[in-house]
Amino acid sequence: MEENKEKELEFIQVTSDKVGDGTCGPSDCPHIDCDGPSNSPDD
Amino acid sequence: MGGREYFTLSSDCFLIKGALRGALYDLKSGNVFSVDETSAQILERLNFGENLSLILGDVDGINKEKAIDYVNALENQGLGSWSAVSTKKEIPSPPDLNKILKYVLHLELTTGCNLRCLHCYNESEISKLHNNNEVSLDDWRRVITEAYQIGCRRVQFIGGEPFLKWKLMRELIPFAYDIGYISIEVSTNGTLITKKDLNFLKEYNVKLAFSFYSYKPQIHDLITTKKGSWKKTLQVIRLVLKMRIPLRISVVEMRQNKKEIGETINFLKFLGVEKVRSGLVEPAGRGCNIDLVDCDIFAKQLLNKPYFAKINKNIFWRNKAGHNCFLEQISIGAKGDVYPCLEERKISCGNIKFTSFVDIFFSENAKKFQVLNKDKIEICKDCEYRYCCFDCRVRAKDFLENDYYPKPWWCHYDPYTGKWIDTYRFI
Repeated sequence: MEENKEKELEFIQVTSDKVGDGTCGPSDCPHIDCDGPSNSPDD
Repeated sequence: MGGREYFTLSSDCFLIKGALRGALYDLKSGNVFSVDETSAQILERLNFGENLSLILGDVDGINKEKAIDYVNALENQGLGSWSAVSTKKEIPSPPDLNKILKYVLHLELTTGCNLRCLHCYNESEISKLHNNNEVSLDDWRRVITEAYQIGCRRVQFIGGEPFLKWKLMRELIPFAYDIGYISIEVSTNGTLITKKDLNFLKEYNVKLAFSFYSYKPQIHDLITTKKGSWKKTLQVIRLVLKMRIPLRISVVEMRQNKKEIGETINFLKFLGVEKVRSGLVEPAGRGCNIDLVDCDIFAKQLLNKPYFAKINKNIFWRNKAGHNCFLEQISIGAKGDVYPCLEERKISCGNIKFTSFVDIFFSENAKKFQVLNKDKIEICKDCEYRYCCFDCRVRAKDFLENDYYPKPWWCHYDPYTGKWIDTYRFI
Protein backbone atom coordinates (compact mmCIF):
# COMPACT_ATOMS: atom_id res chain seq x y z
CA MET A 1 0.00 0.00 0.00
CA GLU A 2 3.02 2.22 0.47
CA GLU A 3 3.27 3.08 -3.22
CA ASN A 4 -0.29 4.49 -3.25
CA LYS A 5 0.51 6.98 -0.53
CA GLU A 6 -0.25 10.51 -1.66
CA LYS A 7 2.84 12.66 -2.11
CA GLU A 8 3.07 16.15 -0.73
CA LEU A 9 4.51 18.80 -3.02
CA GLU A 10 6.85 21.00 -1.04
CA PHE A 11 7.68 24.62 -1.64
CA ILE A 12 9.69 26.13 1.20
CA GLN A 13 11.42 29.51 1.34
CA VAL A 14 15.02 29.06 2.46
CA THR A 15 16.21 32.67 2.29
CA SER A 16 16.03 35.36 4.92
CA ASP A 17 16.11 39.14 4.83
CA LYS A 18 18.29 39.03 7.87
CA VAL A 19 21.96 38.50 7.15
CA GLY A 20 24.11 36.89 9.81
CA ASP A 21 22.99 34.82 12.75
CA GLY A 22 23.72 31.57 10.98
CA THR A 23 22.71 32.56 7.46
CA CYS A 24 25.01 31.30 4.76
CA GLY A 25 26.62 34.21 2.93
CA PRO A 26 27.41 36.81 1.99
CA SER A 27 30.89 36.76 3.35
CA ASP A 28 31.81 37.95 6.82
CA CYS A 29 35.38 38.23 5.57
CA PRO A 30 36.81 41.46 7.01
CA HIS A 31 38.59 42.28 3.75
CA ILE A 32 35.44 42.55 1.69
CA ASP A 33 33.22 45.55 1.99
CA CYS A 34 29.58 45.19 2.92
CA ASP A 35 27.66 42.33 1.34
CA GLY A 36 30.40 41.36 -1.03
CA PRO A 37 31.53 43.33 -4.05
CA SER A 38 28.66 42.42 -6.34
CA ASN A 39 26.18 43.47 -3.75
CA SER A 40 27.93 46.46 -2.28
CA PRO A 41 26.25 49.83 -2.52
CA ASP A 42 29.42 51.87 -3.05
CA ASP A 43 28.52 52.88 -6.59
CA MET B 1 -8.28 22.45 -16.13
CA GLY B 2 -9.27 25.17 -18.62
CA GLY B 3 -6.40 27.67 -18.99
CA ARG B 4 -4.42 25.65 -16.52
CA GLU B 5 -2.64 23.28 -18.89
CA TYR B 6 0.76 24.86 -19.30
CA PHE B 7 2.94 26.70 -16.83
CA THR B 8 6.35 28.22 -17.30
CA LEU B 9 8.63 29.88 -14.81
CA SER B 10 9.15 33.60 -15.28
CA SER B 11 12.30 34.91 -16.95
CA ASP B 12 13.69 35.82 -13.51
CA CYS B 13 13.03 32.42 -11.97
CA PHE B 14 15.33 29.43 -12.38
CA LEU B 15 14.94 25.83 -11.35
CA ILE B 16 18.28 24.44 -10.16
CA LYS B 17 18.21 20.71 -9.69
CA GLY B 18 20.22 18.87 -7.10
CA ALA B 19 20.87 15.15 -6.88
CA LEU B 20 17.42 14.70 -5.34
CA ARG B 21 15.54 17.90 -4.64
CA GLY B 22 15.47 21.20 -6.49
CA ALA B 23 15.50 24.90 -5.73
CA LEU B 24 13.69 27.78 -7.36
CA TYR B 25 15.80 30.91 -7.54
CA ASP B 26 13.64 34.00 -7.84
CA LEU B 27 16.07 36.69 -8.90
CA LYS B 28 13.36 39.36 -8.74
CA SER B 29 12.65 39.01 -5.02
CA GLY B 30 16.03 37.46 -4.18
CA ASN B 31 14.35 34.48 -2.57
CA VAL B 32 15.22 30.82 -3.02
CA PHE B 33 12.63 28.10 -2.49
CA SER B 34 13.34 24.46 -1.82
CA VAL B 35 11.16 22.03 -3.76
CA ASP B 36 10.89 18.27 -3.34
CA GLU B 37 12.01 15.72 -5.91
CA THR B 38 8.59 15.23 -7.52
CA SER B 39 7.92 18.96 -7.76
CA ALA B 40 11.31 19.49 -9.35
CA GLN B 41 10.53 16.84 -11.97
CA ILE B 42 7.11 18.34 -12.71
CA LEU B 43 8.48 21.88 -12.94
CA GLU B 44 11.28 20.78 -15.21
CA ARG B 45 8.85 19.17 -17.62
CA LEU B 46 6.48 22.14 -17.45
CA ASN B 47 9.41 24.36 -18.36
CA PHE B 48 9.93 22.25 -21.45
CA GLY B 49 6.40 23.14 -22.50
CA GLU B 50 4.74 19.86 -21.52
CA ASN B 51 1.07 19.65 -20.57
CA LEU B 52 0.40 19.37 -16.82
CA SER B 53 -2.29 16.71 -17.25
CA LEU B 54 0.06 14.51 -19.24
CA ILE B 55 2.86 15.00 -16.72
CA LEU B 56 0.59 14.10 -13.82
CA GLY B 57 -0.43 10.98 -15.71
CA ASP B 58 3.15 9.82 -15.46
CA VAL B 59 3.61 10.61 -11.77
CA ASP B 60 2.24 8.30 -9.12
CA GLY B 61 0.75 9.47 -5.87
CA ILE B 62 -0.08 13.03 -6.87
CA ASN B 63 -3.51 14.44 -6.24
CA LYS B 64 -4.26 16.55 -9.32
CA GLU B 65 -6.17 19.21 -7.46
CA LYS B 66 -3.31 19.60 -5.04
CA ALA B 67 -0.90 19.82 -7.95
CA ILE B 68 -2.89 22.65 -9.46
CA ASP B 69 -3.07 24.39 -6.08
CA TYR B 70 0.68 23.99 -5.84
CA VAL B 71 1.30 25.58 -9.22
CA ASN B 72 -1.21 28.32 -8.36
CA ALA B 73 0.88 29.08 -5.28
CA LEU B 74 3.94 29.47 -7.48
CA GLU B 75 2.00 31.84 -9.71
CA ASN B 76 0.83 33.85 -6.70
CA GLN B 77 4.48 34.23 -5.70
CA GLY B 78 5.16 35.68 -9.17
CA LEU B 79 7.41 32.76 -10.07
CA GLY B 80 5.63 31.90 -13.29
CA SER B 81 2.34 31.93 -15.11
CA TRP B 82 -0.26 29.61 -16.58
CA SER B 83 -0.79 29.56 -20.28
CA ALA B 84 -3.34 28.01 -22.61
CA VAL B 85 -0.61 27.14 -25.10
CA SER B 86 2.64 25.26 -24.78
CA THR B 87 5.57 27.58 -24.10
CA LYS B 88 9.07 26.33 -23.59
CA LYS B 89 11.00 28.57 -21.23
CA GLU B 90 13.90 30.18 -22.97
CA ILE B 91 17.09 30.18 -20.97
CA PRO B 92 18.48 33.72 -21.04
CA SER B 93 22.09 34.24 -21.97
CA PRO B 94 24.38 35.12 -19.07
CA PRO B 95 25.09 38.84 -18.79
CA ASP B 96 28.45 40.32 -19.70
CA LEU B 97 30.47 39.62 -16.56
CA ASN B 98 32.59 42.72 -17.09
CA LYS B 99 29.45 44.78 -16.57
CA ILE B 100 28.36 43.13 -13.32
CA LEU B 101 31.57 42.21 -11.55
CA LYS B 102 33.20 44.69 -9.21
CA TYR B 103 36.85 43.86 -9.39
CA VAL B 104 38.79 44.73 -6.25
CA LEU B 105 42.55 44.95 -6.23
CA HIS B 106 44.17 44.35 -2.84
CA LEU B 107 47.71 45.71 -2.62
CA GLU B 108 49.75 44.63 0.37
CA LEU B 109 52.33 47.37 0.84
CA THR B 110 54.21 45.63 3.62
CA THR B 111 54.04 42.62 5.90
CA GLY B 112 55.46 44.75 8.69
CA CYS B 113 53.11 45.84 11.44
CA ASN B 114 53.53 47.78 14.66
CA LEU B 115 51.05 45.40 16.31
CA ARG B 116 51.19 41.63 16.46
CA CYS B 117 47.59 40.49 16.55
CA LEU B 118 46.96 36.96 17.77
CA HIS B 119 44.97 35.96 14.69
CA CYS B 120 46.80 37.82 11.88
CA TYR B 121 46.33 35.85 8.64
CA ASN B 122 49.53 37.41 7.33
CA GLU B 123 51.63 36.75 10.43
CA SER B 124 52.61 40.41 10.37
CA GLU B 125 54.95 41.94 12.93
CA ILE B 126 57.42 44.79 13.12
CA SER B 127 60.43 42.63 12.27
CA LYS B 128 58.99 42.16 8.76
CA LEU B 129 58.99 45.88 8.01
CA HIS B 130 62.30 46.09 6.20
CA ASN B 131 62.34 43.73 3.27
CA ASN B 132 64.55 44.26 0.25
CA ASN B 133 62.31 42.16 -1.96
CA GLU B 134 59.30 44.44 -1.67
CA VAL B 135 57.57 45.78 -4.76
CA SER B 136 58.92 49.15 -5.94
CA LEU B 137 56.87 52.31 -6.40
CA ASP B 138 57.18 51.99 -10.19
CA ASP B 139 55.91 48.41 -10.15
CA TRP B 140 52.92 49.33 -7.95
CA ARG B 141 52.09 52.15 -10.38
CA ARG B 142 52.29 49.75 -13.29
CA VAL B 143 49.97 47.28 -11.58
CA ILE B 144 47.43 49.97 -10.70
CA THR B 145 47.46 51.15 -14.32
CA GLU B 146 47.19 47.66 -15.80
CA ALA B 147 44.37 46.66 -13.45
CA TYR B 148 42.41 49.77 -14.41
CA GLN B 149 42.87 48.94 -18.08
CA ILE B 150 41.16 45.56 -17.60
CA GLY B 151 38.21 47.03 -15.70
CA CYS B 152 39.25 47.23 -12.05
CA ARG B 153 37.84 50.32 -10.36
CA ARG B 154 38.42 49.50 -6.69
CA VAL B 155 41.70 49.32 -4.88
CA GLN B 156 42.48 48.56 -1.26
CA PHE B 157 45.86 49.23 0.37
CA ILE B 158 46.59 46.81 3.13
CA GLY B 159 49.48 45.33 5.12
CA GLY B 160 50.80 44.57 7.61
CA GLU B 161 50.12 48.10 8.59
CA PRO B 162 50.08 50.24 5.42
CA PHE B 163 50.70 53.46 7.38
CA LEU B 164 54.20 52.15 8.05
CA LYS B 165 54.59 52.78 4.30
CA TRP B 166 53.00 56.20 4.37
CA LYS B 167 55.52 57.71 1.97
CA LEU B 168 54.68 55.03 -0.61
CA MET B 169 50.95 55.39 -0.01
CA ARG B 170 51.16 59.16 -0.43
CA GLU B 171 52.37 58.48 -3.97
CA LEU B 172 49.97 55.67 -4.83
CA ILE B 173 46.70 57.15 -3.56
CA PRO B 174 46.79 60.27 -5.81
CA PHE B 175 48.02 58.06 -8.63
CA ALA B 176 45.01 55.69 -8.35
CA TYR B 177 42.65 58.63 -7.85
CA ASP B 178 43.91 60.44 -10.96
CA ILE B 179 43.63 57.31 -13.09
CA GLY B 180 39.96 57.06 -12.15
CA TYR B 181 39.51 54.47 -9.42
CA ILE B 182 36.08 55.03 -7.86
CA SER B 183 36.88 53.33 -4.57
CA ILE B 184 40.17 53.64 -2.70
CA GLU B 185 40.27 52.02 0.71
CA VAL B 186 43.01 51.62 3.30
CA SER B 187 42.77 48.73 5.75
CA THR B 188 44.58 49.75 8.91
CA ASN B 189 44.82 49.26 12.65
CA GLY B 190 44.57 53.05 12.93
CA THR B 191 47.23 53.51 15.56
CA LEU B 192 49.70 55.45 13.38
CA ILE B 193 47.29 57.86 11.66
CA THR B 194 47.57 61.59 12.33
CA LYS B 195 45.09 64.38 11.61
CA LYS B 196 47.36 65.57 8.81
CA ASP B 197 47.18 62.10 7.24
CA LEU B 198 43.40 62.16 7.46
CA ASN B 199 43.26 65.53 5.70
CA PHE B 200 45.27 63.98 2.89
CA LEU B 201 42.99 60.93 2.70
CA LYS B 202 39.87 63.08 2.64
CA GLU B 203 41.23 65.04 -0.29
CA TYR B 204 41.27 61.82 -2.34
CA ASN B 205 37.96 60.36 -1.07
CA VAL B 206 39.79 57.51 0.61
CA LYS B 207 37.75 55.13 2.77
CA LEU B 208 39.10 53.42 5.85
CA ALA B 209 38.62 49.88 7.13
CA PHE B 210 39.54 49.15 10.75
CA SER B 211 39.65 46.09 12.92
CA PHE B 212 38.43 46.56 16.49
CA TYR B 213 38.19 43.77 18.97
CA SER B 214 36.46 44.88 22.14
CA TYR B 215 34.93 47.79 23.95
CA LYS B 216 37.14 46.69 26.83
CA PRO B 217 40.66 48.13 26.45
CA GLN B 218 42.34 45.17 28.09
CA ILE B 219 40.71 42.65 25.73
CA HIS B 220 41.52 44.67 22.60
CA ASP B 221 45.13 45.10 23.73
CA LEU B 222 45.33 41.41 24.60
CA ILE B 223 44.47 40.55 20.98
CA THR B 224 46.75 43.18 19.40
CA THR B 225 49.45 42.31 21.98
CA LYS B 226 50.22 46.02 22.30
CA LYS B 227 49.26 47.93 25.41
CA GLY B 228 47.68 51.26 24.56
CA SER B 229 46.55 50.22 21.06
CA TRP B 230 42.86 50.41 22.04
CA LYS B 231 43.25 54.02 23.13
CA LYS B 232 45.10 55.06 19.98
CA THR B 233 42.71 53.28 17.61
CA LEU B 234 39.69 54.74 19.37
CA GLN B 235 41.11 58.27 19.18
CA VAL B 236 41.51 57.90 15.43
CA ILE B 237 38.05 56.37 15.00
CA ARG B 238 36.58 59.42 16.73
CA LEU B 239 38.59 61.75 14.51
CA VAL B 240 37.61 59.86 11.35
CA LEU B 241 33.95 60.13 12.31
CA LYS B 242 34.30 63.82 13.06
CA MET B 243 35.89 64.42 9.66
CA ARG B 244 33.16 62.33 7.99
CA ILE B 245 35.61 60.02 6.29
CA PRO B 246 33.84 56.80 5.20
CA LEU B 247 34.64 54.08 7.68
CA ARG B 248 33.83 50.43 8.17
CA ILE B 249 34.89 48.32 11.09
CA SER B 250 35.19 44.56 11.41
CA VAL B 251 35.02 42.94 14.81
CA VAL B 252 36.83 39.64 14.43
CA GLU B 253 35.47 37.12 16.87
CA MET B 254 37.70 34.68 18.66
CA ARG B 255 37.72 32.95 22.02
CA GLN B 256 39.32 35.98 23.70
CA ASN B 257 36.52 38.44 22.84
CA LYS B 258 33.51 36.22 22.07
CA LYS B 259 31.62 37.23 25.20
CA GLU B 260 31.39 40.89 24.28
CA ILE B 261 30.94 40.92 20.49
CA GLY B 262 27.42 42.33 20.75
CA GLU B 263 28.41 45.01 23.25
CA THR B 264 31.41 45.96 21.12
CA ILE B 265 29.24 46.39 18.02
CA ASN B 266 26.78 48.50 20.05
CA PHE B 267 29.67 50.54 21.44
CA LEU B 268 30.92 51.33 17.93
CA LYS B 269 27.43 52.14 16.68
CA PHE B 270 26.91 54.42 19.65
CA LEU B 271 30.08 56.27 18.64
CA GLY B 272 28.53 56.78 15.21
CA VAL B 273 30.11 54.02 13.13
CA GLU B 274 27.42 52.90 10.70
CA LYS B 275 29.18 50.02 9.00
CA VAL B 276 30.14 47.48 11.63
CA ARG B 277 30.29 43.76 11.01
CA SER B 278 31.47 40.83 13.02
CA GLY B 279 33.24 37.88 11.49
CA LEU B 280 34.86 34.75 12.77
CA VAL B 281 38.61 34.35 12.87
CA GLU B 282 39.91 32.91 9.59
CA PRO B 283 42.16 29.82 9.58
CA ALA B 284 45.16 31.43 7.90
CA GLY B 285 48.54 32.45 9.31
CA ARG B 286 48.38 32.90 13.08
CA GLY B 287 44.61 32.44 12.75
CA CYS B 288 45.27 28.69 12.49
CA ASN B 289 46.11 28.65 16.19
CA ILE B 290 43.52 26.35 17.74
CA ASP B 291 43.64 28.37 20.99
CA LEU B 292 41.72 31.14 19.22
CA VAL B 293 38.60 29.05 18.75
CA ASP B 294 36.38 26.84 20.83
CA CYS B 295 33.19 24.84 20.42
CA ASP B 296 30.97 27.95 20.50
CA ILE B 297 32.89 29.52 17.63
CA PHE B 298 32.88 26.32 15.58
CA ALA B 299 29.17 25.93 16.23
CA LYS B 300 28.47 29.42 14.88
CA GLN B 301 29.95 28.42 11.55
CA LEU B 302 27.75 25.37 11.12
CA LEU B 303 25.11 25.43 8.47
CA ASN B 304 22.63 22.81 9.63
CA LYS B 305 19.37 24.16 8.33
CA PRO B 306 18.29 25.77 5.06
CA TYR B 307 18.98 29.39 5.87
CA PHE B 308 20.54 31.48 3.12
CA ALA B 309 20.94 35.19 2.57
CA LYS B 310 18.92 36.69 -0.25
CA ILE B 311 20.61 36.82 -3.61
CA ASN B 312 20.31 39.05 -6.64
CA LYS B 313 20.89 38.69 -10.37
CA ASN B 314 24.53 39.64 -10.15
CA ILE B 315 25.27 37.16 -7.40
CA PHE B 316 23.43 34.36 -9.21
CA TRP B 317 25.24 34.88 -12.51
CA ARG B 318 28.56 35.43 -10.79
CA ASN B 319 28.23 32.21 -8.80
CA LYS B 320 27.32 30.32 -11.96
CA ALA B 321 30.36 31.74 -13.73
CA GLY B 322 32.97 31.28 -11.03
CA HIS B 323 34.05 31.70 -7.45
CA ASN B 324 32.23 34.28 -5.31
CA CYS B 325 35.51 35.88 -4.23
CA PHE B 326 38.23 34.87 -6.69
CA LEU B 327 36.21 36.11 -9.64
CA GLU B 328 36.03 39.65 -8.28
CA GLN B 329 39.15 40.20 -6.27
CA ILE B 330 42.83 39.60 -6.59
CA SER B 331 45.63 40.33 -4.16
CA ILE B 332 49.25 41.22 -4.57
CA GLY B 333 51.62 40.54 -1.72
CA ALA B 334 54.44 42.80 -0.61
CA LYS B 335 56.94 40.74 -2.56
CA GLY B 336 54.88 40.87 -5.76
CA ASP B 337 53.16 37.49 -5.64
CA VAL B 338 49.63 37.47 -6.98
CA TYR B 339 47.16 35.52 -4.85
CA PRO B 340 43.52 34.61 -5.50
CA CYS B 341 42.61 36.20 -2.17
CA LEU B 342 44.36 38.01 0.66
CA GLU B 343 44.26 35.07 3.01
CA GLU B 344 45.30 32.45 0.52
CA ARG B 345 49.06 32.84 0.87
CA LYS B 346 50.22 29.43 -0.27
CA ILE B 347 49.24 29.67 -3.92
CA SER B 348 50.87 32.31 -6.11
CA CYS B 349 49.54 32.79 -9.63
CA GLY B 350 52.70 34.66 -10.65
CA ASN B 351 54.87 37.60 -9.62
CA ILE B 352 54.34 41.10 -10.95
CA LYS B 353 58.05 41.87 -10.71
CA PHE B 354 58.67 39.38 -13.52
CA THR B 355 55.38 39.24 -15.43
CA SER B 356 52.82 41.87 -16.32
CA PHE B 357 49.77 41.94 -14.07
CA VAL B 358 47.47 41.53 -17.08
CA ASP B 359 49.28 38.38 -18.19
CA ILE B 360 48.97 36.91 -14.71
CA PHE B 361 45.30 37.91 -14.39
CA PHE B 362 44.43 36.12 -17.64
CA SER B 363 46.78 33.18 -17.05
CA GLU B 364 45.60 29.61 -16.62
CA ASN B 365 47.02 29.75 -13.07
CA ALA B 366 44.66 32.57 -12.12
CA LYS B 367 41.77 31.31 -14.19
CA LYS B 368 41.55 27.99 -12.35
CA PHE B 369 40.68 29.91 -9.19
CA GLN B 370 38.43 32.44 -10.90
CA VAL B 371 36.19 29.71 -12.34
CA LEU B 372 36.21 27.61 -9.18
CA ASN B 373 32.49 27.65 -8.42
CA LYS B 374 30.53 24.97 -6.59
CA ASP B 375 30.05 23.05 -9.84
CA LYS B 376 33.66 22.01 -9.37
CA ILE B 377 33.46 21.04 -5.70
CA GLU B 378 32.69 17.41 -4.91
CA ILE B 379 29.20 16.91 -3.40
CA CYS B 380 28.43 20.66 -3.74
CA LYS B 381 28.17 20.15 -7.48
CA ASP B 382 25.11 17.97 -6.81
CA CYS B 383 23.48 20.46 -4.43
CA GLU B 384 20.54 22.62 -5.51
CA TYR B 385 21.79 25.48 -3.29
CA ARG B 386 25.15 25.71 -5.06
CA TYR B 387 24.51 29.17 -6.54
CA CYS B 388 23.21 30.84 -3.37
CA CYS B 389 25.60 29.30 -0.85
CA PHE B 390 28.67 31.39 -0.03
CA ASP B 391 32.03 29.73 -0.40
CA CYS B 392 35.35 30.45 1.30
CA ARG B 393 38.12 28.14 0.15
CA VAL B 394 40.46 29.34 2.91
CA ARG B 395 38.01 28.05 5.48
CA ALA B 396 36.91 25.01 3.52
CA LYS B 397 40.20 23.57 2.40
CA ASP B 398 41.48 20.54 4.18
CA PHE B 399 44.90 21.48 5.49
CA LEU B 400 45.68 17.96 6.63
CA GLU B 401 44.89 16.36 3.30
CA ASN B 402 46.12 19.39 1.35
CA ASP B 403 42.86 19.22 -0.56
CA TYR B 404 41.70 22.51 -2.02
CA TYR B 405 38.36 21.24 -3.27
CA PRO B 406 36.45 19.65 -0.39
CA LYS B 407 32.85 20.38 0.44
CA PRO B 408 32.89 22.99 3.26
CA TRP B 409 33.09 21.15 6.57
CA TRP B 410 30.50 23.42 8.16
CA CYS B 411 27.75 22.47 5.70
CA HIS B 412 25.64 19.60 6.96
CA TYR B 413 23.29 19.18 4.06
CA ASP B 414 23.31 15.95 2.12
CA PRO B 415 22.03 16.63 -1.41
CA TYR B 416 21.73 12.89 -2.07
CA THR B 417 19.14 12.38 0.67
CA GLY B 418 17.83 15.94 0.80
CA LYS B 419 18.31 15.95 4.57
CA TRP B 420 20.04 18.27 7.02
CA ILE B 421 21.98 16.69 9.82
CA ASP B 422 21.50 18.16 13.28
CA THR B 423 25.14 18.60 14.13
CA TYR B 424 24.46 20.37 17.42
CA ARG B 425 23.73 17.03 19.01
CA PHE B 426 27.39 16.12 18.48
CA ILE B 427 28.72 19.25 20.18
